Amino acid sequence: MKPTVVKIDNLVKRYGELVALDHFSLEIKEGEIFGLLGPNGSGKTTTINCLLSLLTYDKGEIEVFGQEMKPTSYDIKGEIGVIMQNVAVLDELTVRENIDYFCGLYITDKEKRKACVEDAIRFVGLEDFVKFRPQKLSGGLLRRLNIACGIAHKPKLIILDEPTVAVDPQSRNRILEGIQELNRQGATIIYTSHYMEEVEQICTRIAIMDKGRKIAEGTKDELKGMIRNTESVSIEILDLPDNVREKIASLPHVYETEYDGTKLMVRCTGGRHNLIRILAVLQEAELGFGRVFSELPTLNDVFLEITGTALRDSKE
Amino acid sequence: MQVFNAFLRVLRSKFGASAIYIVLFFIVGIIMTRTNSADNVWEKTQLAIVIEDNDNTPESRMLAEFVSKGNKIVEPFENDDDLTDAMYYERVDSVMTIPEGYAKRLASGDTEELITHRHIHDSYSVVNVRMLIEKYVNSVEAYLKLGRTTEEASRAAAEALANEAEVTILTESEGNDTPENDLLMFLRYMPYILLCVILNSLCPALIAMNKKDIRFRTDCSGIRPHSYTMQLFGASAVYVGAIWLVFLVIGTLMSGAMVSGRLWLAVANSLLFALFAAVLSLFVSEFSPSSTVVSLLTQLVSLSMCFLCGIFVDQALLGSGVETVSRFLPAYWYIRIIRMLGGDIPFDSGEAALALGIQAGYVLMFVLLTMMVRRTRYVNVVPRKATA
Repeated sequence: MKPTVVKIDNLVKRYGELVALDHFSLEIKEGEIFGLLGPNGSGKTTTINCLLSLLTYDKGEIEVFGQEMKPTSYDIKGEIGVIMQNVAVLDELTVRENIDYFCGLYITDKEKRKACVEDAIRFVGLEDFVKFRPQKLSGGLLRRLNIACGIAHKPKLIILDEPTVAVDPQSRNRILEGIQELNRQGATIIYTSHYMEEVEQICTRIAIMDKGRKIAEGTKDELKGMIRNTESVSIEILDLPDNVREKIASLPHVYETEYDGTKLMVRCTGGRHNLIRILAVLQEAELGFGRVFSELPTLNDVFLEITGTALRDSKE
Repeated sequence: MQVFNAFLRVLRSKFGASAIYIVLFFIVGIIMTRTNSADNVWEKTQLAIVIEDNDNTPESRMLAEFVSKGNKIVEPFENDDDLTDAMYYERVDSVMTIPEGYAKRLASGDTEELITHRHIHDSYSVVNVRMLIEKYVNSVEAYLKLGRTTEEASRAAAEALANEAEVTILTESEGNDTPENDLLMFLRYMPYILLCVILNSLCPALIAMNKKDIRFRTDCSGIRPHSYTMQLFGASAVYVGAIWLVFLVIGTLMSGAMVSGRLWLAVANSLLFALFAAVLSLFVSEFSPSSTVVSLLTQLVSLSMCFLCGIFVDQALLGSGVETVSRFLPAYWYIRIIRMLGGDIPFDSGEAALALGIQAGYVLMFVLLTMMVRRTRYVNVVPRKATA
């Protein structure tokens, strides 16, 4: 059994009347890429700030590496790397100087630091830009510099808070691959995002948050197993008589149908031949149809089914 | 020393914005030195004058002779076009016409608009010559009334007006042109450059280091807040000390003065003012203003202190209302010490100590204000440290 790296127990954080974290608990094991998924305002960043002892909290306990996390826990902080959504680098220093400066906040030995800085530069692929000032870097390169500043000291626990916001797809993929590589090198990762595709792609375990509460936790397959929906079939069809729709709705494993005049959406739970059965009904009724899609459930479906609102549509 | 070194690098990058003030400071200083030297040389202006003597009497010739002394007399032109061209191209400054019957009108006391003048440009010299001729005519008239002959009156008037008064410009430093006074003169202007350079570089550097995201990253790290603050403070002190020392050395080299005796008071005075500029920067940086605002504030603070407190305009020339206001500014007390040491006002050790004390009071006040603002901002805006 792998040791616990982060343990949050019954955490409550209030901003006046607003309850930002409502009896939130979490346990993250060594070597995990743990995803905190939730819409904006769900409490992800508040959780991170409490975890880093940058915010007071009203109730609960936080342990990191088996020790209570306090503002003065400098030894624990020295083992944590933080990469926030906003790029936090000094515009007045070059790429190398920035990485060296932030690495130096953790490592005082000059030789060791130098090696760490070079490793970080190589890791994010900024070898050709070491003498550049941040203003001269593109958005994607800036993000990479931001990451390099957070991981140069080779932390055991890396916290990434929405690191891919406003990043082009190419840089985003590079960042995600980098996170997986850091994990392979032994770091435990906490990854917060409201992009479910990213969380699905890289996280080994996921907690879904909404309104300061943890509404579900598990691997992505476990989470998808928590909901009825196992397959969503959508068919482009311009004319769908009510009797045909009722016939489809009465098919085995179909639990919900929606028709908006151009597209029929059929949600199924379990079963292996749902698509064939649905298409057979349409052919029997001699109805023409366009494109047909069969999709497996996403984390958005999980969120939708649990909260009643779509993850993407949720507002702060 | 990671924060210390990084902050010095940030300061170095911000120093460029202050270079313009340093260059301007020395250019203005050199210009002022040369202007002051040139002001001590006085030359009488000579005008090119055409005299049209239509009377041709001994009296009119004596007037022409009087005017010719100290001016260049140009021979009359054959036609008006040539004269107009000469006036247009400034080969002739003025044309004086002595009318026919000049001697008779002089003798009869009819001197109203006796002499006519023509010129293209009104200048101080032209008006001066015109007034001198009027004085001459009036003097002749006065001598005539005393019973002298026209010829005697003309001669006496010319002699009387030929006497020149010796003009001496009195300055505060008259007779005190020593290296020590030159150094004091340099130190007098030092608050301007100290405020400009320190506010314009230290303030943006502190703002850069205290940006919200940078502070967040720093707070997440293993460095202790006390160590971080002390390193920033140390680097600021080294930077301000270096700026002050460089200017002091430049001032000493330029003046050739050896710092000794009471001049050490002037040195301590300038160090205290540099400290004031530093804590003012610290205070301003707490509000994280934009670079434009910092630049505007630098201009506002430095120029208002310099003009109100007697740096650019001598304190002796300040109105009582302005002086009352300027007493509330540290630069006033800085200049007070410089004036005492320069001998402009009597030296009073009690008042000198008071002036230093008031400046130190300003330093302390801004330190306390900065701490208060920081505390308020951190408690109300930035997340507090957990105590759980």
